Amino acid sequence: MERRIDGALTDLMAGRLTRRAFAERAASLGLALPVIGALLRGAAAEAAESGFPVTGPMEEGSGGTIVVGQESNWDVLDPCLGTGAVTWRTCLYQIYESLVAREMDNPVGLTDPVVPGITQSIDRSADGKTYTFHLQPGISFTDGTAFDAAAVIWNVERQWDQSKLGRKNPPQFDTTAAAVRSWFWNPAQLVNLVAPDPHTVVFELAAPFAPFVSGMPESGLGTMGMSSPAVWKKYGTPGIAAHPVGTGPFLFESQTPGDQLTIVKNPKYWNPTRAAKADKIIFKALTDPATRVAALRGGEVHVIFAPPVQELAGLQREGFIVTARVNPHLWYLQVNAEEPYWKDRRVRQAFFMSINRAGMARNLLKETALSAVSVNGRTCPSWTDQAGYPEYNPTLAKKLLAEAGFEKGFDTVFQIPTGGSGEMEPVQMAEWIAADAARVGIRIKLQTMEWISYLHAWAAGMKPGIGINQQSWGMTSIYWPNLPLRTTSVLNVGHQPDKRFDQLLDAANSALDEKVAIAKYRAVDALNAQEMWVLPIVNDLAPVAISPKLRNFVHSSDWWWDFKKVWVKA
Amino acid sequence: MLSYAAKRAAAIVPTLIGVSLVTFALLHIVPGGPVVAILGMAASDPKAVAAVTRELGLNRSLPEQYWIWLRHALSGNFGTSTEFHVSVSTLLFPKLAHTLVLTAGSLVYAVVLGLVIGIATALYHRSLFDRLAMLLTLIGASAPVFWIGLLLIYLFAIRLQWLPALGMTSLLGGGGVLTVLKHLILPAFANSIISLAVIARIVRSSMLEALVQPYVLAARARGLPRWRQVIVHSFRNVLPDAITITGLQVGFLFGGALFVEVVFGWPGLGYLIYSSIEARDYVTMQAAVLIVSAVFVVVNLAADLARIALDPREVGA
Amino acid sequence: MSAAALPVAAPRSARRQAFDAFARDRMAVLGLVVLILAMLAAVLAPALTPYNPTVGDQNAIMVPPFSPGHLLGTDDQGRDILARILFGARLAFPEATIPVLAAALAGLGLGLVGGFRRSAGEVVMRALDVLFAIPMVLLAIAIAAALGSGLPTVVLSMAIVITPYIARVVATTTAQLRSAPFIEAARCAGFSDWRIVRREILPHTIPAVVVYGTTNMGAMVVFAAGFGFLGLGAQPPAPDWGAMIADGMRSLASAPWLSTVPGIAIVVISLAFNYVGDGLRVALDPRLRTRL
Repeated sequence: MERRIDGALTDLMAGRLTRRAFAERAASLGLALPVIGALLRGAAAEAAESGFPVTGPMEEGSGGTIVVGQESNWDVLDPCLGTGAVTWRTCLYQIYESLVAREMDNPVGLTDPVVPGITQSIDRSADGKTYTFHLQPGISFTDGTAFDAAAVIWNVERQWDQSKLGRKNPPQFDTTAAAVRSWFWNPAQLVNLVAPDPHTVVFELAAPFAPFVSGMPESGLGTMGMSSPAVWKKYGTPGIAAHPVGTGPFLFESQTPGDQLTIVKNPKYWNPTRAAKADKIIFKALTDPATRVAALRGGEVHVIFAPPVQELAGLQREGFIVTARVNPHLWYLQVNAEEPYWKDRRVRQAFFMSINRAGMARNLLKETALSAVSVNGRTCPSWTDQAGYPEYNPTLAKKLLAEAGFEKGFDTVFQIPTGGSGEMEPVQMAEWIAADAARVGIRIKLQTMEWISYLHAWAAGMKPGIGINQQSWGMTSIYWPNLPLRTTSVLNVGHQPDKRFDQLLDAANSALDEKVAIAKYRAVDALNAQEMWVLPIVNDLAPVAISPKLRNFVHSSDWWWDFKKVWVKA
Repeated sequence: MLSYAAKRAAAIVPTLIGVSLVTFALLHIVPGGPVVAILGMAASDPKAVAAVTRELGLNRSLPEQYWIWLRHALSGNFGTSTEFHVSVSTLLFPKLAHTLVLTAGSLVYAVVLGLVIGIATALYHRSLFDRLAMLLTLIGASAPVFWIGLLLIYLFAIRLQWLPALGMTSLLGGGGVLTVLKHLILPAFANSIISLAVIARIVRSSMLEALVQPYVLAARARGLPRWRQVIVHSFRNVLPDAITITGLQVGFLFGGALFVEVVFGWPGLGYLIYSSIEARDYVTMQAAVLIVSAVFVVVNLAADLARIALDPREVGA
Repeated sequence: MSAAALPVAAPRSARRQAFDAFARDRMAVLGLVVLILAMLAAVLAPALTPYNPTVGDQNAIMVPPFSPGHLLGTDDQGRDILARILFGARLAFPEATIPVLAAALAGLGLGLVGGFRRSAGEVVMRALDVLFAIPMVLLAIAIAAALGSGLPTVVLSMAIVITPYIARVVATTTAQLRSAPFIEAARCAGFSDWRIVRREILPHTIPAVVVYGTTNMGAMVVFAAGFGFLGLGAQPPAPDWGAMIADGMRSLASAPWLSTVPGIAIVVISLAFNYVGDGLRVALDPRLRTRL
């Protein structure tokens, strides 16, 4: 049934079915009216937002080797240590399964609610402090060992620092993993973790934490990819990355670091209805955009990520398919609250209003992005276009600057990386922004750094003399605004001092009702629209170019991808 | 001859030690260095920083670190790449081989085309062909090699689609020697241009000198066909100069491959150095620069010795 | 017949002979003219173009060359390429010339010491050998990466890398002169080492340095562009020619002029320097003046 609805949805969005015809078909398949209504609304929103299709050709079948061209190298293949969308997309999401996952390849989109996978269901206590995960029985890791509650606890204890609770950490605990994942585990305040039986895991928190479940699938934020404890026992921590063993629909076969990674279909995958269709996937690291495009044109790869936007029209003319989709990505700026000229809210607003975001999305990024209107990602339930962010208005910007005492403008420094995961074309976009700002009198000097150094400088907080910096992030989970806006957050790199954000965020996180939490997060968004500590610029639609030979390719509605259903027609 | 060779060989040891000092220093000039590279965003966590610092041995004294690094390096252990998380030696040596392949290809172009152009322009001295050829080689030698590479890609790979644009083999692996050769055509040519120009120039002036020598004039007077004058008589004089200049170019071809590798995506050591700079992978960068320098020195030494073996008159100089 | 009746031309000074030799080389003169025009264009850039090289016209993106108003087209930010080339010359010339000047000074110093004093000389030359052992491009890039990108870094890295070559040329000349009779005489006369070096040896080394420097200026233009290409040069949106080539790479198929045009500028300037350098080399070295 799912398949037939998929096909009907694709046809609807591609314009091959009228809304009425779709509704009739959906009704004949047994869908209830409210569901049909939601699907129609979702499809309409999707189609209106992006000029690109969401899927490639859809057809039943299986087999083939998919070759994927990635835009950067993947990191280490360890679910607790590997970071970056590329690492997760590449390997981790195909080999490891997350305790909590979203269905990213659903053509209709929305990635909440969470789909049952290795976790069958989740109960939450009335006081919101206890979460009981009921695991799917009968699952094994691909090395034959059982996936059970003990394995879950083992995986969590690698990244959860219990020394703060006065306990000794078990041998598999890793300091780096804990540091990298502290963004989730610190606010989650996990106090106790028990397994009353082999298929049940109970998380006890110190206080209710509304984003607990929705935050789990966010990589870099408490990722819950389950790896086999037996591998660690045999090979130690580096062995996990060297011999990745998970429960997923693919098995690791081999890799040449920085070059190629090969995974094969897992014949013993626990869920036959969602088993992999392709026989093999080869991931290639093709960091140079020109190489990627040439590889696609030459038939050497079937999919390329982050194709240069100038080439898209040409690729489409040559018969390749470019898909794009709304996802949680947000490309944003933060300003340094400790620089004197940013202290007046009018100046911050003026800066935001001077930037032609829609023009950037249209002309510079060739419609592969949308102008951002919220601090939340577009797939987040608390996203709204009514948060109150002002429109592009350079005249009003100049007026506000004059009112604030800056008729002659001012000088500032903008730190920007030269690349990075999800960064799109950072230097070009920064140049666009600087040119726009120059027109209202804000004279920006760019300081470029390569990505790794930039990450460090960024995470250390803006130093005096630096006025602006940039990052790409965003989550489907409602949790995201805590990271840049909470005054005590390490990622409040602009040192914004307004405690009202903290109050709203605390109220949101301790809400027991999701609707209340969402309302509070929307209030945070509205407050930011006035205070302008985080300037949302654009949402990347993450275009991907694929070969016409690929089948059942559905553009993901999140940062990472699921290749289970994809296969290659000879 | 042998004692001279031994002396020359021994002289490179202090040089190599000096090189190892310089490359070791590279790791330590940069603030933050490898700790930042490994931890990235998490580098603001002091606990994690302390752990990684201990792991990498960065808390020891500098001379101690140098000695440990050197000892390991001499036994082939160059540490673990912070970008790829595998031992640097597994990265380095295959890529060294790839760069050597590129160098060999460039050498073939440079020598063959250099000789042909040098001799032909000397024979047809002052003709339009001579002026045009000299102008083209000069332009080629004055242009940035990465730009020429891009033009070659645009013309032959994108517009005409005769040759593959990038990489060393077809992406799915396999294909063997012929595929590699096909991928080698453009990058090796781009890399060879400057050396080609130099060799052509030297061969040309050497040839011009030789053509006015008495014995060549005598051969002409005897009525020998042109080609015999050229090949048999003048060539013998040209050869030592050609070999000398070629020897000097080998090292240059090897060390200068970085830009060509970057533009063509050729997976060699130059590309590795470039990407390890991007990724702040100092461990790899250090090892790669050390290896390239060591090979550079050895190759130059070998070329030098070969030259002397072929022309013992030089030894006295 | 008395000797006085024969017309005899006054012998020209060495300087005049050099000047004439240079003037006779048409390509060298052409090169010099091109360089002067290019430097003038760089200085007068704001008067030569109405466009701002760093702020583009958002409605004129990726316009091809020979379009109305944009002779060389525009880039992906709508910036006029001709304007960027003209202003880019303000970066290219200093990047090519300052390192050579700095290296000449440093090289002279090191070379004179290296060639004149036996023991200190050994040390200096051994140290320089190490710098020779690392391929020039690699060393420069590694230094620039360590120091962080920007114009000063490029100039410093290039100067460091070129110094050994000039030092070697100077040291060889100095070492040869060290045992010459007139130096012996000066020593016997009681002149201090410093005086000997400054008055007797230094003048002999200058021509070699000048020739070395000028013949390599062309290569320096290309070398400096390499830094920009790798992203180690002046920060965007500065119109660095090498960076412009790198920026154009991602649109090679759809907008080839973005990478092609800056490269042509580099070739023209580099060629001009090469011809001038060649001409100077022949002009300054009488032995080379017989044309082949």
